[in-house]
Amino acid sequence: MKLNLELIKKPFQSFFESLFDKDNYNIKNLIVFISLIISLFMVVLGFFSAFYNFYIGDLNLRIIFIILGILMFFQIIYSYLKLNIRKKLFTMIIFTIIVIFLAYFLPAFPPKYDLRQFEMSASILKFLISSIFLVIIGIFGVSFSIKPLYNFSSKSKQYSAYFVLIISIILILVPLMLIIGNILFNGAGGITPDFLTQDVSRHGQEGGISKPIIGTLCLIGGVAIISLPLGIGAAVFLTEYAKGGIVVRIIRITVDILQGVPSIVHGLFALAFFVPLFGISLLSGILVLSFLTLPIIIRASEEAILAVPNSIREGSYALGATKWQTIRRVVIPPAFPGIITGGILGLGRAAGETAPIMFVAVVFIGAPDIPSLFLPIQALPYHLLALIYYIGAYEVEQNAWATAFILLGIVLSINAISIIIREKFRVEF
Amino acid sequence: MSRKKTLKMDVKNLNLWYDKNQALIDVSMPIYKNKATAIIGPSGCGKSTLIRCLNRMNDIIDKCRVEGSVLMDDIDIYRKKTDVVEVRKKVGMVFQKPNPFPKSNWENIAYGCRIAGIRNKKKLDDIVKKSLKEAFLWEEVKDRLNDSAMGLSGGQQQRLCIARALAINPEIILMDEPCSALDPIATAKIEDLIRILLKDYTVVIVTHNMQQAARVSDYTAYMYLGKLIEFGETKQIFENPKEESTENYITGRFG
Repeated sequence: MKLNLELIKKPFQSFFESLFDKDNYNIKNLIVFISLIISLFMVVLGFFSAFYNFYIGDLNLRIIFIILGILMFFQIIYSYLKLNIRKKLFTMIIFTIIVIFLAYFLPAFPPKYDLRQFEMSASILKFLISSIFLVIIGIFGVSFSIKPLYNFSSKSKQYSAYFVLIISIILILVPLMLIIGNILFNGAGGITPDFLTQDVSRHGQEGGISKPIIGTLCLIGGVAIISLPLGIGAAVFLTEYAKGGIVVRIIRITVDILQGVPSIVHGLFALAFFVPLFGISLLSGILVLSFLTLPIIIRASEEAILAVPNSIREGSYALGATKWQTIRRVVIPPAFPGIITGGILGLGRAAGETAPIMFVAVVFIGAPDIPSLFLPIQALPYHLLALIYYIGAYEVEQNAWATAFILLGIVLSINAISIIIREKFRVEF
Repeated sequence: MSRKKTLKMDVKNLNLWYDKNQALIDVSMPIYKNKATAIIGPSGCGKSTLIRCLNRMNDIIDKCRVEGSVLMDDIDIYRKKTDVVEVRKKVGMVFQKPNPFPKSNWENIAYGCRIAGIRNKKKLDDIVKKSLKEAFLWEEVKDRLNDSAMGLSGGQQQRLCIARALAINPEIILMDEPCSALDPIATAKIEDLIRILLKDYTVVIVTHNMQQAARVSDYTAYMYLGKLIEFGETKQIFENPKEESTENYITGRFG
């Protein structure tokens, strides 16, 4: 991406020019200017404390928020009395209320836990949340206080919109990179040939994760065999054959609800329905994960099929094609990349789920060497869960990170495959 | 224009409803063999609806109800026994916007034959070549038969769609404003093509462009608000319309 520096430089330049314009000097602008400085300070402080794991303290946090709140209050009074910007007034009042509320609430959040293992995460949460709020409130404060000072031209609005969009992209990428980087950094050291080829032993302190890997791959394969054809078939039916009608609407709503069902509820359902039939077994796991992924696959396939323009369907019918011929030869091929992307993303989701399978398909240790449909398996997410519980009791932290690394690797490579397929079969209309 | 008139299709008292809106009201018109029939009229008057009735394309639309009959070679295509697929094989259609399939040029042309069950590669090659030549596209695409049809220009795509329709060897070709998305040069090419096609085919063309109707067609039907106001030889319609409404439209006083 080419970043044009002019785009960022220009609005700042003209903003500073407007600051030194003598006509602009009055009490109102002084208030606005001070709140601008405070807001900028908050943004910087927020980023600083986030990056250096540093919490500025309850009192300081309160003071900063209260100062900003008071300044905003003055701005509101002034705007109401002197200016005719009533439209913005409501937003400003809401903003000020939020600021004052945060000044009270933020230092008290989150409450301290007595439990030893939670203390650490509670304080991390505290500085993280406080810095996030500092940044967000700061940015809003800047935007509120910059407006009265400087008359935005449509061009500079365009520049700042562009700037904000770039920032949002960066904000999306940063957590992703942090997660991946963290797991890479902590997990890569534990990956050895033995770790990949040996079975779990001594509560995961020794040995490897060969069986969990095999188990997870079996789950993915089984889910693919069941849910891909079913999901794609259902999507084709819903989009091509059953247009409109109350039944279809009910089916659609059901699919959406199924997608919203918490995964642990899937687990409970499977425990009640599949375990009595098939026992704690690979088959039960495959079935419950298929239920979990079906809605994703149906939805993605529907989107992909609906994206195929109607005109080419008509073109096919006009040549004497039957409905099925049209679907098979004209609709499915261009929709295929989208369908397969959705399908594979669904499989990725299935690969990472713990809750649905933990009661119905997995054991921590002792799965058969050759996976069988009717016997339990070991799976990576469950293995990781167990290791996390063992942290503190046994020496498993390194292996936990390494397991996370492998699990993430499997899920990411599934996603990578879907991207490759999508790019390879992409069709332009 | 030859004097011999053979009836190819006969639309009889056709009424059509989209849900509760009546789009065609008691339309009756003949379509003569190896002649071009133009349907003109202001937007929303039912031209496209009428032409889509001729190969039962309206069947795909929900809540669309048709009454009356369309005879093709004296057989009603709306009777219960009719196989829609067979009708559409005999009545090809070219749409307003070029709609090639996102496949190669070769596959686009061969599509109709392949779904009809022709598997022989040699035979398909011949059909592709013949159809492309008929649509005067062969010279332009003969070196890129395996490239995607999406890479062609708009005019080429439209001629590809015509070639695609010709490949299944229809008896009638319906054209729903085939030139509305094209520039004058591509339009001229397609108009020339239509005149040449009349040797072997019957053409029905919907158009907004009255000059085009005058240039291309032998017969013209003028429609207004779902009704067929006037039908006659193109020359008569344009030079000596019987109805006032037709005259107003043709002279550009409304529409």
